[in-house]
Amino acid sequence: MSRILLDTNAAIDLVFPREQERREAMIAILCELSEERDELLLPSLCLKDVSYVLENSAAAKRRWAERADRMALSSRARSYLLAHCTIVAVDDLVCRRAHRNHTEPDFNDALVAECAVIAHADVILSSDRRAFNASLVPKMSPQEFARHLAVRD
Amino acid sequence: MAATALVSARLDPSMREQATAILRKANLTDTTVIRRVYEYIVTTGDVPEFVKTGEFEVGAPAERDHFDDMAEWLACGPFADEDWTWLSDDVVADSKGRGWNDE
Repeated sequence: MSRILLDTNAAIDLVFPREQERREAMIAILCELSEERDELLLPSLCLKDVSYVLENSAAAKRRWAERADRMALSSRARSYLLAHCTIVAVDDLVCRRAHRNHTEPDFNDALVAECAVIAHADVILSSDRRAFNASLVPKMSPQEFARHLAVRD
Repeated sequence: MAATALVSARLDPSMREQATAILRKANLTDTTVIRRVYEYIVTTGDVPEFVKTGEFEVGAPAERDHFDDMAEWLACGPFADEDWTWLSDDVVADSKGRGWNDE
């Protein structure tokens, strides 16, 4: 059983094919996963971050001038992630542990790292080179995780 | 060559609905299926065997789970053909309040 915790970028890579190499890695990962033994976990704050970047980022506003279009895109992405991932709460314990976590680049990453611990995740799926390097739960990039799954029993 | 010739067929509505759902998942339309069968016939000078006989092998359907659906979404889903380069890691970092003051 693998419990795979996604950070914000990994969640976005599951919905939007942004970059060819990551897209291929994500498809390879999904083809290897099985409902019987694997589960995707998504911290609630990452779902919020995905929504925020699609609704309110300057780049999204340049791409879609109409707020209704951005809200519809965000809603669609959120529906997809809610359908396929288990949401992990950022609760009192996670916040308190993250507050004491000084190994991550910022509090946001500390929250994700502590979510992974509390949710008993086996791996944090992330392309962030600066974050989760000292996390109690190991980090793998999509490419690394795809290679790992390819040789899994 | 302009694709102006029209082919029409009467089908059982339920079968049409089921087929359309399966085709949609495969990112195909009825028109594409008909066009490709016609292309096959014209290119090879022959008719696909199952069309001639109306008979085909039915194997056990492969077991699918939601991860297969997700892989299909990324490969040929509704966002597959759009340009998402604007949604870069830097844009995501900026939205989370990072990037502007990175050392």
